[in-house]
Amino acid sequence: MLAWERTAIASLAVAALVVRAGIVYSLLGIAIPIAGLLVLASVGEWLFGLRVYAEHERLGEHGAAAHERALATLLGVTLIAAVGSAALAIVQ
Amino acid sequence: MATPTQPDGSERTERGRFRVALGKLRPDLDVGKDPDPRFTFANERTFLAWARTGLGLIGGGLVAAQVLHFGLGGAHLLVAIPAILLGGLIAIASYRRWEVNERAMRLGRPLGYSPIVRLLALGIAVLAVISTVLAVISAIVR
Repeated sequence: MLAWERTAIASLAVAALVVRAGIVYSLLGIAIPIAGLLVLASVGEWLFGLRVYAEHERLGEHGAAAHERALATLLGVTLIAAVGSAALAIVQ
Repeated sequence: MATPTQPDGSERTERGRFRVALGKLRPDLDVGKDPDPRFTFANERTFLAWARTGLGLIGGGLVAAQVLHFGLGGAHLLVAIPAILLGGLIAIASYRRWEVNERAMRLGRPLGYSPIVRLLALGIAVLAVISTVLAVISAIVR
């Protein structure tokens, strides 16, 4: 759970940096969608952390589930953030 | 646009095709037997740690683009862009690593070595060299 929450905080921090870059370069059109996505991802990661904690209670019955969709979503958001950040850095 | 016909005679919608495409992206983890839950969670925590490293590099690259001023035109981008790209690469490589490890654990095979460690070490070393060279040149030119 804490690993998910740490990741949520990291996503939020990158969102703040993206917004700052958007303001500095007057490119809020690029920055706001990316930052919004990162904030959404952050909320999702936080809630998912809570779900993982709840799953702990049922481990004896079902074993641990592989959260491939959540991990793939996080990969997608990170890639979009990377592409958007590179665009912000180049198109300044 | 023609919609392909399915074996049962029905037609696949756009949404259906999208779901099929998404399904192909999912890792094939329906093999072997469920590993010890502690190992599954440890594998997930490792992926999340790499994801944070990737996010940190992306954030660092953004800061470098805004804060660094070498007085050499767009030279600061030589630090910023590789850091951001390295962050993206680490995200992809760590997901792949998570998938490979999960499969190996389910099949009871050894985990093998991770190429991400080398990628990160090499990337940071390259960034350090570029930063040092730019800082020295900037100091000389000024």
